[in-house]
Amino acid sequence: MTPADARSALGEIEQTAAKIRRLIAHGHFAPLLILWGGIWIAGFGCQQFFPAQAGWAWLVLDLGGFLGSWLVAVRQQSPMKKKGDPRIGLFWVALMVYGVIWMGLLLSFPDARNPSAEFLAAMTRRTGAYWATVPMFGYVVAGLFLDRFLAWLGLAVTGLTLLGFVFAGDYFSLWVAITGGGALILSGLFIRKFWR
Amino acid sequence: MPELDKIIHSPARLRIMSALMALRRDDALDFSTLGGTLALTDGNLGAHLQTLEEAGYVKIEKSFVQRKPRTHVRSTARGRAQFEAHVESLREIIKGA
Repeated sequence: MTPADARSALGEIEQTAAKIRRLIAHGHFAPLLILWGGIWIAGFGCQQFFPAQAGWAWLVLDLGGFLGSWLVAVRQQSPMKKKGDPRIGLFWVALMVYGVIWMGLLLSFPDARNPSAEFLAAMTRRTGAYWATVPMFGYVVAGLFLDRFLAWLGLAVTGLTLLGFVFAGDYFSLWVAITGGGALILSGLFIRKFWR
Repeated sequence: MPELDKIIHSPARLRIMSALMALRRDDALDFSTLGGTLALTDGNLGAHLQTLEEAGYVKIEKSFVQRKPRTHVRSTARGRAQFEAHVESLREIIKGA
């Protein structure tokens, strides 16, 4: 075998492995990203334009999202047969630790006894930022295990959310709806089109 | 010249092993997905898998999912070790050039 043949064989190995990893990711993630992107746009859009109804809207949207995710999982017969994966436990532990630490940093309100209008607006923004970034940390952790693309997506949406938190002011919810929800939907469409 | 594994060396079997090596240890891939992804017919894939199974490189498992028969393929510890040695030999060939 010549060095050129060996190089070609190694290239073939890399391409095949990438194809399989993407095939698995395609089946699992594309529909979920599109579904949750739509939920983000609807939820944060409602928070921006109908803040009084946002609590109920989020409840209904989240329930719909979990039901939809369950349907996606049931309908898509996985091409893989997996043994128990200890990383799933690690994923949830990491997400909970992050959620608690982030909650301490972002959602501690020392002057909550006398809430002013500014305080309430700040609380809404902080709560929005919290619930937008915690799931994205899940994407980062899952991306480290499964595919770096998801990790970069999680970091990008977290960065966009924090950028909006600092600069978007009263339009923070609209900012998160467009950037976060949009990023999720576009990523889902990208995976659906190119990861085959 | 580094020694290459004669069983894995065949282009189709190299791709089959590459696909299975992309999974986690103990995970298995559906037969038809494997064939579709590698553009191999069922007969062709079956013949290559038989060769790999006889060498102890893969394990073929048949089961029923929602009353339909399904076949899954996984790499064995021996298969993974042989594949890694094969890849190492390929790298040595390139280095030696």
